[in-house]
Amino acid sequence: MPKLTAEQAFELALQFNDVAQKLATYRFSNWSKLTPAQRSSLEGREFTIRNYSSDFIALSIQIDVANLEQTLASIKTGTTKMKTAVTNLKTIGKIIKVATIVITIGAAVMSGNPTAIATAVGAALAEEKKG
Amino acid sequence: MQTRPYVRKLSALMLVLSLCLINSGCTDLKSIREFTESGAEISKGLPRLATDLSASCKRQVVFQEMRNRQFQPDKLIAITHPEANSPESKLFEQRCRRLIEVEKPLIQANAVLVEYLDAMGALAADELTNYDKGMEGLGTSLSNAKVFTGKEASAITKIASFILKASTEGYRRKKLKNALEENNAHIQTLTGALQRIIGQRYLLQLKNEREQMRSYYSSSILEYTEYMNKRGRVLTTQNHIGNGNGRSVSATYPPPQDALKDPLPIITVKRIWDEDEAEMLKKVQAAQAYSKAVATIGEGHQKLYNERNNLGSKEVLRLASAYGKTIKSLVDEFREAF
Repeated sequence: MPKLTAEQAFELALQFNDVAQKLATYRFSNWSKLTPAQRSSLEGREFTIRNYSSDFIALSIQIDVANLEQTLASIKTGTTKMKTAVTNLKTIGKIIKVATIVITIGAAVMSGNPTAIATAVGAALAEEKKG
Repeated sequence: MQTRPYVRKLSALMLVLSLCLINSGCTDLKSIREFTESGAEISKGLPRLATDLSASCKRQVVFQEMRNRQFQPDKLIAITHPEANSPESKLFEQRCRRLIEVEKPLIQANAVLVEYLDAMGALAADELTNYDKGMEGLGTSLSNAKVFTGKEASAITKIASFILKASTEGYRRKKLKNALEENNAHIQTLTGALQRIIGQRYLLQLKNEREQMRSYYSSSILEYTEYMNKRGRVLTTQNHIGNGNGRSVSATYPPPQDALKDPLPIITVKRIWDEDEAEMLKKVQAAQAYSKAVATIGEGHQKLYNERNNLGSKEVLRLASAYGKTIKSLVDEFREAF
């Protein structure tokens, strides 16, 4: 027997919900005509059928989620690619900072100014600590 | 000192590049980021809905079991406040097993969407290709090195900054475009599934619970009516008995002389019933808000995919902004309800 689809399971859930509700309506509309034993029997059946509806809802969701496996894997790959692109762009930013500091150190050394050299090296170390 | 020829040529190149970039619609992508941020925000609300699937089932079981345990306080307490590993606790696990089992995979599927939207938002962040701060010291250093004049150093810095931005912007938009192309069909599938699960399946489970609740209250009120009638009192019960659509079921009997006209216990029960109905309505509204938001995420993504070659255009950004605002309003609606 072929397995149910998510839509078929959901359709069953709807039908069972409807039957349970019809039983409840019948029981209340005919309350005074039914014996306590009959009411109890109808009520029990109403609960059971409604519980089946909930089971079919769960089955429908299970099938839906199971069918998403491939989709989820593809989206995860796409997410990884975007994250890599973001990392690359952030790396460029860091390289620029480092390059600027290197130029600053070079200029300071060329100038022969010890204070300027110390400032430039300090900036380089601070940048390295940031990671 | 006169500006050197090669610096003049570089400045001319910069002017040409500016014109090219303006013509290609190089504007910021803030609206796309706002769209993805709103989408990720509402998607983070799904775990609460997912866990309420089995919680709703348990509440449904409680209403059923209370009917079986009438006038037995210890059994009523056991079902409404079950201890861990008690027979009642095991009853819930057994009856609601399937709904408990779908929670985790559903939350995980939703997490994939959240992560995707977060990553797209990070890529759409304009500060990602803003390297001005990093370039700040460059002009000063070039000037201090005594190789270029102050003016030349400034011009070179501006050109370098501009070329860097243009090339990284191109890279950023290309990656966004690739992401939209490769993932649009999958995003449509995922948002469609989440919309069905919450907007249809979860709503039907809430309907099951609500009808169980109405059945419980209706049965209890009618049995009470019958009991009081047997004791020689008159009660007429109206409204919300039966299917909750306002149908009246009259249960009048020939009135004895000391007929009771104000059914105080019924009034009290009706108030409690109304509170339960109000709580239920909030959950329904939360589910509807979430479902609508996920549909909007799908639509917005589709629009961006359709316009992927023109992401920077004002019309596309206006659309992204509109979608972002729609989703944000639904986030507020969701939070109010749940």
